[in-house]
Amino acid sequence: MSAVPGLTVDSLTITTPTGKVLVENAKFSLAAGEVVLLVGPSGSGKSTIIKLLSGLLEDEGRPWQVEGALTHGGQVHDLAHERCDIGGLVFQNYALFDDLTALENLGIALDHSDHTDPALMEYLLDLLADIEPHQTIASSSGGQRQRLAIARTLLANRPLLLFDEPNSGLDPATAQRLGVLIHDLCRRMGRPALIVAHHVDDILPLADAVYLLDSRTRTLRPLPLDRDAVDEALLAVGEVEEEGIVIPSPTAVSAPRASDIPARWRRRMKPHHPQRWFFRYLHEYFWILWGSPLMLLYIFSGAAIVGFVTLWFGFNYELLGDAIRSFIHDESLAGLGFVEGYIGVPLITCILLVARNNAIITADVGNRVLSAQFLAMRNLHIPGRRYLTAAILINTVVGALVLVGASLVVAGWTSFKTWQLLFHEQPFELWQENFFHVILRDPAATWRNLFWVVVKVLLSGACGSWLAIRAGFSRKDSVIAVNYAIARSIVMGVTVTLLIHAGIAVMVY
Amino acid sequence: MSSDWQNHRILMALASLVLMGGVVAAAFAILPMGLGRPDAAYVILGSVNAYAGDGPVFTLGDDLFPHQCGKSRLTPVGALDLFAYTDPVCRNSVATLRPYLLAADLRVPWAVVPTNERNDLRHLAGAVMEQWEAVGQQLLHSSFFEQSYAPVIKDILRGAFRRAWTSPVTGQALKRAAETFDRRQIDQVIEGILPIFVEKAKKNFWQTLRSYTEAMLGSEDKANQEAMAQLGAEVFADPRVHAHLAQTFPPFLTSREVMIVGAVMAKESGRAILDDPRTLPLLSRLLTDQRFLSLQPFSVEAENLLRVLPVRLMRLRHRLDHNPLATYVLRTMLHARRGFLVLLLSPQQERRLADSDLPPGPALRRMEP
Repeated sequence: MSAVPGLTVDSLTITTPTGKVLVENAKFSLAAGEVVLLVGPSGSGKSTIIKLLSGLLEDEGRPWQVEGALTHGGQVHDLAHERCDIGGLVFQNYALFDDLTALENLGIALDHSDHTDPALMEYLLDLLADIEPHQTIASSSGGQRQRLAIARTLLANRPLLLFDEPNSGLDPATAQRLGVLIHDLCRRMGRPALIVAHHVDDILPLADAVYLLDSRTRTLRPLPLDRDAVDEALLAVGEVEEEGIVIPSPTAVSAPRASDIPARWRRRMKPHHPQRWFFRYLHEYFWILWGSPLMLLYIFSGAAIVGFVTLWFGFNYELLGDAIRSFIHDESLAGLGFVEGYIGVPLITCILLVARNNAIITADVGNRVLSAQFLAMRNLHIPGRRYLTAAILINTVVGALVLVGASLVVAGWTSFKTWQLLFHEQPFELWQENFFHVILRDPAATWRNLFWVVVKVLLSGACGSWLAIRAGFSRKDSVIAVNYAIARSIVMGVTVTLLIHAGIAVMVY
Repeated sequence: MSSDWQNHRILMALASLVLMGGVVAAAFAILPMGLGRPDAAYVILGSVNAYAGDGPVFTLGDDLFPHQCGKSRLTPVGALDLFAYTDPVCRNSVATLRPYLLAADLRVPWAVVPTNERNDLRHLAGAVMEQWEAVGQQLLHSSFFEQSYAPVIKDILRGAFRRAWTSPVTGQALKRAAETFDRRQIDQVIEGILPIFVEKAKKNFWQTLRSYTEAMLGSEDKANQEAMAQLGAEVFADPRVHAHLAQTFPPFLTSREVMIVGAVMAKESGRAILDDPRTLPLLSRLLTDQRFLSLQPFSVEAENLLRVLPVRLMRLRHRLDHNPLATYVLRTMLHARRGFLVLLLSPQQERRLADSDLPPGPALRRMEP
């Protein structure tokens, strides 16, 4: 792998949507293989610079105002008008895709990379030496997650590596190993890295330059590579390290133990067509939204209860005299069959589906938003929103149709068994002829009624999941926000489902 | 761990497949798949006096309780196909027993009610009718009815009859009846009455002539009208007219068209009575009138009849029993539809039902299905 040329940012001015100027007329540069540390007080705009360089600076109602130019490899990018994603970002909380395995986290980045470099594999293997390819994210340690996140960012093959608080939440030893790792990677790959950090002790000895973002003067100025000088500067702007840490030499950092794991990674890390990830999500949501046995049992239980309740209480209540019960038997069965088939079962099934799936969809999408997974996808050029939205919509609509069809059968079968309990001396065909009387009497009307059932199911499935997706994608600052979004999604989805079914039923029947 | 997870996923997928497989099997088990080939086929000998369509097929148990055992399809040309239910007893019955194609008539469920139960019901109904007749007589002769109810009831009935008589439906029925009258029969009636009319008119020739003339000129003189009414009353009071009408009128009254006129009149009158806003309040007032209730109109027999009639007619043997034959007939009648049914009878059952007024059905000849 050849070293990439350095880059220079010139005349950088950033103004927040609220009009606050974070930095004014700043200038900095990073040479190939250089590790640069960006320090400053909280809220000074360090992460904003990182987001700007990774193309993730999002307008929220009102736009950010950015001025300046970025020069890289002879090309000049106007930061005021171009979205520049020259940097591959390693997020503070890693933003790993926790529904995918370690291998899949890297595979999706590899498949969506603009151009892959075979030499990258050697650097990756050093990072992954103690991580099983099929290891889940949940079972990985903090250090392993950090290295997976770095490896995933490396696969994007960007000229600049960006690290947002990489040592946050790590114990001192792991943080030190991480610092060494970043330094070593940059040197070997010949790529510059810009690191934003509050706690500089672990990384300062390995940095080639330090810049201070001074929130008072809104300037970016270089500091000497001296811990006391950095402390003094941070103290002056209101930020200081609490205690010093003994920095080990790079050679003292233990590398992951050698094993046969790298060979497994080497075998599996092959690029594929990116479209396979859409099918991967399609399959994932198929399983989550309607394919699992628990889901089938849940829906079929609802249908069975509808089938039982309508038949049992339709016939077996004291208000009916015995003679009346027999007298109205055929017409009642026909009526119950009609109500179950065209109104009751589709409605109950859709309500159960929408209530359950809206909670899952909003929780799933909301947590991805909260953990910056969609930002990570965007930084990795993965069309994650499109994949997930399409996969969810297709699965909810197709799943609703299939499950309503299956529920009609389950409810019908339960109705028959309940009827058999009540009228055990009567033949099955007597139930069948009367329960399906409306279908048998007029096939044309049956097709028309089934058409409206399909319309109801499609509309409620699509509208329900669309509301859930919208609620999931809304801004999430905390877990509470996710919870509120879930509740809102369920209420809105079920209400819309009720309105659709009631409206069409009143209109058509 | 990975292997466990894979096994877990495979088991879950298998569980889903089993559940969906169960649904598919249930669908095949319960969904109607069409009638298929008939199990037996017959053709009606002679004219086909029934609507084409589908009707149920019944067999009778040892106690003559009906069981629905299949479906029949009658074509306009008189071909009758029988489709047996899957129960082996039904298949065997359709294959071996003799079918009777019957109109959905109340006489069919009544015929299969056991004789002793029919006698009980007749006895009970007779007692109730006698009791109601006695109550009716008392009511009609009571002073409170004569004062509080009779005038209004007469007014309602008069209005209803007038409305029925002038309704377009009655007019059409009368017109159809008039078109079908035999001219010779009408002449016969008039020829018998005319000499008596002439005889009565001759007694007061000049008065009669004057009244006729003024009536033709449109006079509304009350004296003339009374004279005409007097002449009519004298003619119809004559015993010879009574004897003549008793001889010549029955053929008119028993003709189909006249019966239709009667039925239309009855229906229109009934509708007019129900439409009259005074009817229901009056009925409600009567039924809650202590003077009426003191006549004890709802006897123990009436309550018993109301209680047992539906149960006996439906022949319900327990609380959740179902008589498909009786309910089919009753519903067909209530919906004013013309339906038919097929009753499969064994030779023994034919003998048992020989004296039970089972309505006759057309002769059927067995064909190859």
